[in-house]
Amino acid sequence: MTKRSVTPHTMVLERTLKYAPSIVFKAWADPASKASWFTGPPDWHVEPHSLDFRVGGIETSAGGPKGGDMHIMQALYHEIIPDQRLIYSFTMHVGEVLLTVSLATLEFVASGSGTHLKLIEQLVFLDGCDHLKEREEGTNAMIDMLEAYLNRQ
Amino acid sequence: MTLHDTLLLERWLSAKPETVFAAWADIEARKVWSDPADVKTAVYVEASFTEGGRDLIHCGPEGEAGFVIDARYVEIVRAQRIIFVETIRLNRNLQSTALITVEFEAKNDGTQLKLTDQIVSVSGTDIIKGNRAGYSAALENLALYLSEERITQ
Repeated sequence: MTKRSVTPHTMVLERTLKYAPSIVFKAWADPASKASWFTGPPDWHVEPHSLDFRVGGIETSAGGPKGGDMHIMQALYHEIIPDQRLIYSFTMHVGEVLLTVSLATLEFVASGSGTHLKLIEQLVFLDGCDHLKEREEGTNAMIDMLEAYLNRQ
Repeated sequence: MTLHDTLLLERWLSAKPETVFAAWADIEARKVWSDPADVKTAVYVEASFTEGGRDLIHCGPEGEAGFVIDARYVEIVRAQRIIFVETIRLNRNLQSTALITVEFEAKNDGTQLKLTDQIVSVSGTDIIKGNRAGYSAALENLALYLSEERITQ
């Protein structure tokens, strides 16, 4: 039997981007835009990204190393305030195993001509999965991908 | 303006984990102990205690039932753990979202119940206090419900 354990944590990540809130927000809201930056490592096999961007809507992103287990993120949107705020919850599975459940608040605040982006992620690590450092690095890498995407536009 | 908090509630209950879990899983049992005392009307529009299922409850003081509670079950492990995401809306406006993890651990011939409530409020501190008071009262009622169940069995 799996040894059950729960480790709650709150992660806060702040970044300033040189684009206006409406532009940064669109990269999260528009399914085609989001699919182009919200991906795994370049050498991963990736399943088609799906995003139903409305309150109550679901997003699914899945991929994994070739021959390895799939990493599956599934999100549910609870609040959408255009150009200002998103609240969503999401699960992370590797294969059939649920690793973490998260509640994310993402705030877009105008800062000069750019955007101060603040992510507060409240999450539980389950059953000995306690890779906080890797998760923080992964989340930073996600914002790096967002920034690189915005720079390409 | 968003507020984030993590509430931890723990309580020893005189029944075994299977029995405590059943009091959560069975909607009729749950109605008996989970309804807040100051709420006169609580109408279950939906009740689906399965992973991916949800409870949808309309409630509020008598004559002004404007609150909608939407609880989505993320993980259910029989007699061990329940994880759900609960949003509270008032007249369609989001008030709070909470990631709630309930753990059941066999202890001293009963159950040590641990509830972790990771909440984000978009409506000030009252809803956070309300969450704490509501779940504290619910666990108190649950303890009473289980002890009464024992007497009648």
